[in-house]
Amino acid sequence: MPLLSTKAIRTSSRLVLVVSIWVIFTSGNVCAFSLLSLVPSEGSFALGQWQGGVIGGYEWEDQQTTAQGSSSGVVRNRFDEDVHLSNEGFYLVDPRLLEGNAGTDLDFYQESDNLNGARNGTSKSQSGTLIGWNVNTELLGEMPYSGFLFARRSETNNSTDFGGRTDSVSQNFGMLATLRQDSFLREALPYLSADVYARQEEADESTTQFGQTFTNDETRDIVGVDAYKGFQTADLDFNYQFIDDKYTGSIAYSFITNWLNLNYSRDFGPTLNRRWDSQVSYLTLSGNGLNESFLYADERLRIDHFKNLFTTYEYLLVSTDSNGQRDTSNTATFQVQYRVFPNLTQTVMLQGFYETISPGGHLDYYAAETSPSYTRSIPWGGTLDLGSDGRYEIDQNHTGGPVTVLDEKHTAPAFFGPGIGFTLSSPFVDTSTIVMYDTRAGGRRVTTLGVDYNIVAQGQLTQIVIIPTTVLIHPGDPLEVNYSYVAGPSGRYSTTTLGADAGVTFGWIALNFSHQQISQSMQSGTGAQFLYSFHQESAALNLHKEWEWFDARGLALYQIFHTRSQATGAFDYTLQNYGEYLTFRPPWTTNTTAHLDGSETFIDYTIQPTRKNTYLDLEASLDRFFSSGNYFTMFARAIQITQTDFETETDYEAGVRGNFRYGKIYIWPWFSWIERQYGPTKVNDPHIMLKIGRDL
Amino acid sequence: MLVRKRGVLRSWVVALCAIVWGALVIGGCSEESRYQVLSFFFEGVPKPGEKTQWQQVVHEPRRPPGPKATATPVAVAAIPKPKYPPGWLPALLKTVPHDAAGYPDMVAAFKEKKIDPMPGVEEDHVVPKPKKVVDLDITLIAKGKTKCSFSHQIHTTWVTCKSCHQVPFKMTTGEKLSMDDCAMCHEKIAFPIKGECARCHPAMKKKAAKEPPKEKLLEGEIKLARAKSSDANSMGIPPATFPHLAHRVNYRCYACHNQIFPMKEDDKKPITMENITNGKSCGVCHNGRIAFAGDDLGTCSRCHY
Repeated sequence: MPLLSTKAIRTSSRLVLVVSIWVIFTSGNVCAFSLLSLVPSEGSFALGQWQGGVIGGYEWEDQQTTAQGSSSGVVRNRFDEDVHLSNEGFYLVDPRLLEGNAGTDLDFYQESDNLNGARNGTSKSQSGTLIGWNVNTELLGEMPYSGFLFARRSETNNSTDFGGRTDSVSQNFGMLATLRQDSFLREALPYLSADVYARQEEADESTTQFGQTFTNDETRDIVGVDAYKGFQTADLDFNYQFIDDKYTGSIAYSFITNWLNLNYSRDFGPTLNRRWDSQVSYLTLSGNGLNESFLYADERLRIDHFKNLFTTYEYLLVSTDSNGQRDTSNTATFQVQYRVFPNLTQTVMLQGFYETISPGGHLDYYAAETSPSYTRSIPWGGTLDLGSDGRYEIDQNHTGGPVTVLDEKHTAPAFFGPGIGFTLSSPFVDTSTIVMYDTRAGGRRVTTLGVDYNIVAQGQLTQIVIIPTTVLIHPGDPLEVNYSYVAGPSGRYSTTTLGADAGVTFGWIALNFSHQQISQSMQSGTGAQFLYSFHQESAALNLHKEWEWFDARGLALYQIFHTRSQATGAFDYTLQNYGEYLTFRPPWTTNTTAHLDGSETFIDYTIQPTRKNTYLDLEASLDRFFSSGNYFTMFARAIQITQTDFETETDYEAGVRGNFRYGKIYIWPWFSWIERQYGPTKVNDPHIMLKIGRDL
Repeated sequence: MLVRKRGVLRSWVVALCAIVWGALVIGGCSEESRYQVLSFFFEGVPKPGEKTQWQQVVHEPRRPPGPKATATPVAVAAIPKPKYPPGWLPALLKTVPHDAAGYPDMVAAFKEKKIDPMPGVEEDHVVPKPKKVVDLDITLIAKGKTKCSFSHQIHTTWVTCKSCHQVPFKMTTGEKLSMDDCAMCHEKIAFPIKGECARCHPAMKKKAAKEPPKEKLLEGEIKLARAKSSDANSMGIPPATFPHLAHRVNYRCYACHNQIFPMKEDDKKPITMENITNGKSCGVCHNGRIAFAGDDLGTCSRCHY
């Protein structure tokens, strides 16, 4: 809900715009400084340094898509205007008493899209306004106890010629009181500092489309304390935050969150050779029918017996309660590390884990692990590194049924394409129970299988692949997934993990081999189909050589992966990855750098139905910097993605961008051209953008 | 599955047998043979007759006691003092011998064991051995002046041959030498050539300094130049300052020069925070183990001041 009427905002924005443009274009003249005459009384208030500018931008894009004989496209023309003005360092009576800065920002844009091809002759336009201001003040800034007051607001309006309209307001204001270590308490409580803060954040959004209005207004009241106390041999950190989060509008709900953190670490013992680290975190979330709590406590003791021998003792408690369903896990770990010789280190770890799972049942495991490592110089200046890892674990599962996972957090990939997605954390997921939400901008929108995402089994794991044509999920969106999974066989089973790696380095050449394997076997109980075995072999060659004006890097990786379980069958692949990276700095100038990077990945899924994926990427760029701070970059990129089950995608991209400044005038040019082919569909997209600005 | 289990079992049995046989062979050997075998594979093996050194771990307190804590020193009695407390360098310099001009005489200080500069960075608490000293004193004929006595022994205690040869000194007979070349170090981190004539030209009389020593002269502080394109400029972060003298009294020159930092003035290889946090450049030592870490935000102002 906007705090001001639209008319009032437009009137005030025009006034501010006129004043801003006047100040900017008369800077250096008497008129600009005549603003100082507006000061109420000389000596009690003084303005600081004026900063500001105007920016004008023009953008043109002609995106044409051709598929199976028909073509369509859109030609976009967009104009942007921005005026910003701020005063940095105004003060009242004395800068040491109250100093601050204040600014305002006015942005406008007008966009016209002309559609052609199948929708020939159709056009649409949209325009928008952003009005923003901010005020920050610091009270007693040079004193060990300071106060900060701040307020900022921005309002944006976007409208289209179809009657669609989006109004959004974002505003927050608050205070922060700071106590620094050299405060008046330093005698009684040395090394004490603290921040106390309170602020209100508001984000209102109103969208009107096809005659229907959807509003989502969020208000967050936040109060918190951050305190730190240092001791001669210890540190104490304390944080507390209270958040009252209210959503009003078309869907109303609210949450209250309390979050407490306490970290303490202390060195003790006759030579301070013992260290205790304690970390406790407690969070409660209630509201809208939800009542959740989360407790995390990690206690760790490390004793340095000698310079080459230390032991650690750790206890970790994690407890979650969701509407009365409580899961609690306890983990105890003992570790000893002994450096037998400077080049031979042996680590042994013993671990016990016990977790109670609601509505009944428990999981536990006991494990022993050893991991020696060895390094040695070899002839011709080389180094040999050997390492291995062995772990034996006995697991016992006494749970009644599938385990439910609520709101597992993931992020949508930066771009969508065949096979691009993320993997769920738990194995043996019951795919019929998967429900995924897009939580962008505080919302919670349900996504649909087959429309927004697909499910792909990868051995015992499950991958979510975002369908490129989804309109609900945007790249980078926060996602939350609910699902159930079978926690493994019911009964007792063992897991043996073995790993070994060997590496040789000769100056600029590094060769590495590694082997990892896991095998599980049932000892008693049922559910052997959920056990799995896995092994992976890798060989990697890294080359890296630097010359005075040339830097070359190359890598080659060959990997064999095999996993098998009765429940999901076998999953095998071989992976080859090659990378070449060249950087050239011409000896006659220090301001120019050229890069040429290539990456080739080949994945063969060797079990029926066999598949092959190929990913080729070649990128070149040239950066030229000038002593004045100006620069320009030229870049070109070619990508080809080939997959057995999908159409081949080929992308070409080239462009130039720069930043040039001449006195107070600056220019940002951008030109890029993209050609993308996905099966029979071809997209051509030239894009030009030019921004010109002038500083105050 | 059974076949695979047998294969894994066989691997374990073979590995166990190898370890047991290896232990028996090594254990059954004479002490001398055991030392030879072990020292082929491992570093730091105690020599026959030597006992394994178990070194105690001594950590420094995290910070000095507060004003209140100083009144009750009982709890801190056993706590070791910080290695480099505030003002340690001026205090140290007061204890070392000074030359006639009033500058600290590092050569004399080293001989008198007032300072003990390490030849390199200690790895796993093992300090590397000093490089071989070239015991060759030569006499240089100074043009129109008295003879100059140059001690290779003194110089190779601190620097390596490559530090001076072939640049600036080419090692050729009849080469014309300039005192400006000596000034590459002298006046920056070693005693200044002006007014200290007698330290190189023994026939010249030692003269008391006409003016007090310029304290800043030998501190060798280097204000590092910053790339103009660096974001740090706009963030108001001052460029880093390298305190040469504080490092010199603890390390010999060749601990850093030329492997980590070439002495060439025209060396353009930039020192970046990325390199430092990746264990290169200053990060070879400033990694949180040997010296304070470069990526520790609490230590920025120790270099950027």
